[in-house]
Amino acid sequence: MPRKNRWTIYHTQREVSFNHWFRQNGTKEMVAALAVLLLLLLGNILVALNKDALQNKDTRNQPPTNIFLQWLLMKPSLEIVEVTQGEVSGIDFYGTPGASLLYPKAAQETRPRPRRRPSFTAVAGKGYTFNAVLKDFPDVRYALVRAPEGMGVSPTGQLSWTPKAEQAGIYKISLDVLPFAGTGHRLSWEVSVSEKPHALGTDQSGRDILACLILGTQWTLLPGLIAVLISIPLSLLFGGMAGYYGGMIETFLSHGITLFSAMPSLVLIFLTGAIFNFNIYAMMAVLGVVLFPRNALQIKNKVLSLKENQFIEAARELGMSDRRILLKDILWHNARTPVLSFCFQIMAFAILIEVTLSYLNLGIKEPDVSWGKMIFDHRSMIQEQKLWPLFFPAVTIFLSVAAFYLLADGLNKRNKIRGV
Amino acid sequence: MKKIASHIFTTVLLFLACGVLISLLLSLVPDYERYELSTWRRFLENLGTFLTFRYGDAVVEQYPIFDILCARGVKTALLIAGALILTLGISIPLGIHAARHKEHKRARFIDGLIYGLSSVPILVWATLLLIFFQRTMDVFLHWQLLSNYPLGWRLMIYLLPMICLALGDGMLADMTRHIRDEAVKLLEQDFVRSLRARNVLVMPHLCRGLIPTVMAVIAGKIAYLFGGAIVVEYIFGWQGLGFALYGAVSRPGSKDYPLILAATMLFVAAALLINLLSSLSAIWADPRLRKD
Repeated sequence: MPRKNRWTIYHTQREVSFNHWFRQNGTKEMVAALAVLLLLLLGNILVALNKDALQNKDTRNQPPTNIFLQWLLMKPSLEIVEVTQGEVSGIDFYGTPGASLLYPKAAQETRPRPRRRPSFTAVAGKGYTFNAVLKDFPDVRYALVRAPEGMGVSPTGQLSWTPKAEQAGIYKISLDVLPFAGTGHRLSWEVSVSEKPHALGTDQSGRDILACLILGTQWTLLPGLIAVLISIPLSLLFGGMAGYYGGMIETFLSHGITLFSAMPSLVLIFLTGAIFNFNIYAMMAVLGVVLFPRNALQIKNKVLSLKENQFIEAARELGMSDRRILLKDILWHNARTPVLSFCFQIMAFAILIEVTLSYLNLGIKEPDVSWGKMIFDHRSMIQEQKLWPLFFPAVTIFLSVAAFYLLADGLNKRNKIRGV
Repeated sequence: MKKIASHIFTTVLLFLACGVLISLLLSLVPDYERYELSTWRRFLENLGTFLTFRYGDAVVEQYPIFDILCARGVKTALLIAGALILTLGISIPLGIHAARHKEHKRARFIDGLIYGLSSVPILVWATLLLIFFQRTMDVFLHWQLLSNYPLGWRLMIYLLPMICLALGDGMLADMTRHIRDEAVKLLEQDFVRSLRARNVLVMPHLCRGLIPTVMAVIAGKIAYLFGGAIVVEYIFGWQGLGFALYGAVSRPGSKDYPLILAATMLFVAAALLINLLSSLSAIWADPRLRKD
């Protein structure tokens, strides 16, 4: 009897506590956000350990390895041309996502297409294969018109090649698929061969995109921390004093808020950037100053609402000093979670500002890599439809900013549940 | 009356304070063409320019600054007004809906969706939208290519920056949440219950009660919009005031000081004016505030 009882109690307690923890409002958001933050921290550590190894260069403008990512982020690179007795008669492209908008459906269906897409990347020392069999196009022979050294095609249409280490570069491949009578098709595409594999491709100077993303993490945490370290003490000081004592400080604070909310913060950051030769840390310090009245106002409101409580009156009756009541009873015991959520909001804002400044070419300078600068450097590649150097930084920026916002949001939600 | 006068007086004082602050910052920026002048002297010069409104010609464009402000300010105003209309058009109905169906699953889902969409920076929105249009429809939507396109794409070129500005940097989410919170507070008040008991429509009263909130939200967000306009105008090549300001600040060597001062003060004046309007509208909507 006692043994069984103990088991049940143990079991129920454990289950209830985990579920209770996980089902609280905001827990899921916080877990997801903390995972992203952990990745950012890991990136920072990697940069600190070997910065030079991350800046190695390889073949320029290499697409990502994954075929789906190539389809998503590249111009239609497989060209299919009709050939009759060695003469080219009509040009067609294959692989446009918006093709259904541009061409009638019937025309698309009559075109022959390969069963699989060729990969546009290859790695030295690893095999490159492609099956060139066309859909609904039987009884053919295959002939390589233009190919790099060492490439061969089997009678069944199986292309195979193992690039050597000295063959790194870009090669054009043309393959004729000819029936024994009538019109045939010529498939042409480019293959970019690199010395090492690059999962997310390389940028226009040959650096690995993934390595660049990791290098960019060094501008996420430290500048944000500087902004936090300047903004939070200021807002605690002014907000706490204005809420607790009122009077002159409150008037000063409310006018300061109007003043700073009327001036575009980006312009202030530009001007201080011009003073300090666009040093990122100086600009982040100004960001902290610009953001402080807004946070101070919220802290003031919090202190005002807490001041009415009975425990403050009790503390005063006990003879505690004003400083102790304000710092310990109000700010530390009852207002530290909102302050923590302000910290995360400021961090998100700092990433945003750093990325924007780097995009405007006023932030991080050349040898260093920033996500905003990656987008700035490759912005003309939108028209060439080589989108991987733009797409991955954009997604990374979104994820890291959203993670900080989510963390702040989750903290607020949990905070409300506890009734603080 | 006394209260209105005090609001106007404070606004004027704040405008002067902003002018002094911007002049001070500008005088601290090194001037390589007139390095013999001290910072103090240049501060007094900037202050004089600001107070007497004698801005003269812009350094780069060689036009009178007032002409530049008029020609480019209209474009920026168009951009910002479009973005504001888009944001308010989405956030007011959604905020009221969320306030009325607080616990409903759909309202919570929409809230989460808007929060997610809105935490994307303007820059990322712009890049992803440009990529989307280029990839699926093979058009590059840029202001410089405006005359090449038919009417539909031209409209899209006008609309795309506004969409980016309306969605990016937490704009939409902040507005929706602010309006929702205020609507919840209003709906919990006693007069709403008495209106319902008398079988009167609540919506007109709710809308009237929300006007000061909406104005306050606009006043709080307008400076962010000006900051965002600089980014958006740079990305899409929209030849507005933000683009001119960016060009003046990023100029290597000596900056275009009068243009920076004039453009910033125009932004500040607009923001303070909207701030004043918001406090006046609060007085108009709530008779309790009229007592001195």
